[in-house]
Amino acid sequence: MATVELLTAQELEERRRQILTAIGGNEESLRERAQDYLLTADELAALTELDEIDWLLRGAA
Amino acid sequence: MTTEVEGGSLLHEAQRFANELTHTVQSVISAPCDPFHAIAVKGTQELFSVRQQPSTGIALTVEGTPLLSLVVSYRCSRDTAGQYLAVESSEFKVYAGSRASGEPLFRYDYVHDTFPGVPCAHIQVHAHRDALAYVMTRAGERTIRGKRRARSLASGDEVPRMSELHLPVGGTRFRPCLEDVLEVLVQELGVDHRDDWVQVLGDGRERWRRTQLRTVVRDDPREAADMLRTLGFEVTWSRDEDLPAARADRLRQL
Repeated sequence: MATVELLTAQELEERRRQILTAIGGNEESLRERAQDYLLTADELAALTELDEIDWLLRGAA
Repeated sequence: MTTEVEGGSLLHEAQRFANELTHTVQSVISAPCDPFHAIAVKGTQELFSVRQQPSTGIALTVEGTPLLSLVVSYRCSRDTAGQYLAVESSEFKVYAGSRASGEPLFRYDYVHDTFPGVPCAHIQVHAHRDALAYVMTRAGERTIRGKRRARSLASGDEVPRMSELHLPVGGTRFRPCLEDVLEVLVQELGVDHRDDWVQVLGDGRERWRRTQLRTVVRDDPREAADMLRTLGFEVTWSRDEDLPAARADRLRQL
């Protein structure tokens, strides 16, 4: 069965910080290299999650 | 991690949708595949996202060897009436290798509020032909297309061409129309055009889709009648013979 989480804005923001920490903290560099399709699997997964969180935060305002 | 918490209806929707995706993928892909994961948000707007697990993509094997990975994501909300689940965007991306990295081979995107000039639903082929040719040569011999390609390679023919890959675009009823191709030629390739081209293409696309809509209703009239009743129409079957059955062949055709 699929897993479902119900998160608050604060929890999403905390998760965002954890993801950034895990990849070294430089989101700008990550996004620049994503433009050139240079991300490793872990980096690409991290960026996907960051984008997902940013979109979800739209509804948490 | 549960469906029975506050915001239950939204979570129920998210759970149901993620379960459907999980069932579909696990029922097709023979390699082990984790369940999909959904995140819903507590806030002013009812949103949830659903994506595959692991986050590096679903590893796909060909004759037991990891070869590709599939990344699937949906972003969903309530529709404007608050009644139905609406997909705001979706991405299905296929990468070479068992963990998605770098650039996909190809992708199917849907973005409800897309940029001007970009079709809301579209396919993008990213791969260089060598990258696609490589994975096509590794496609094994367990499908009709794979067997044909393997025979061709064994007889010394050239490596597969990108043109041998047939990407589905909506089947009989929902396929693109000529207006869609004309718009790509103008928008993307700058083909010389008349001043009122936008109006003409919009009119033509509307005609096409109204025609297809009528045809789709005939594929499953009971479903169409149910929706019309939901919208407030009174719909009854007035003929003596039985209501025609849904045309499952049309509804299931690739």
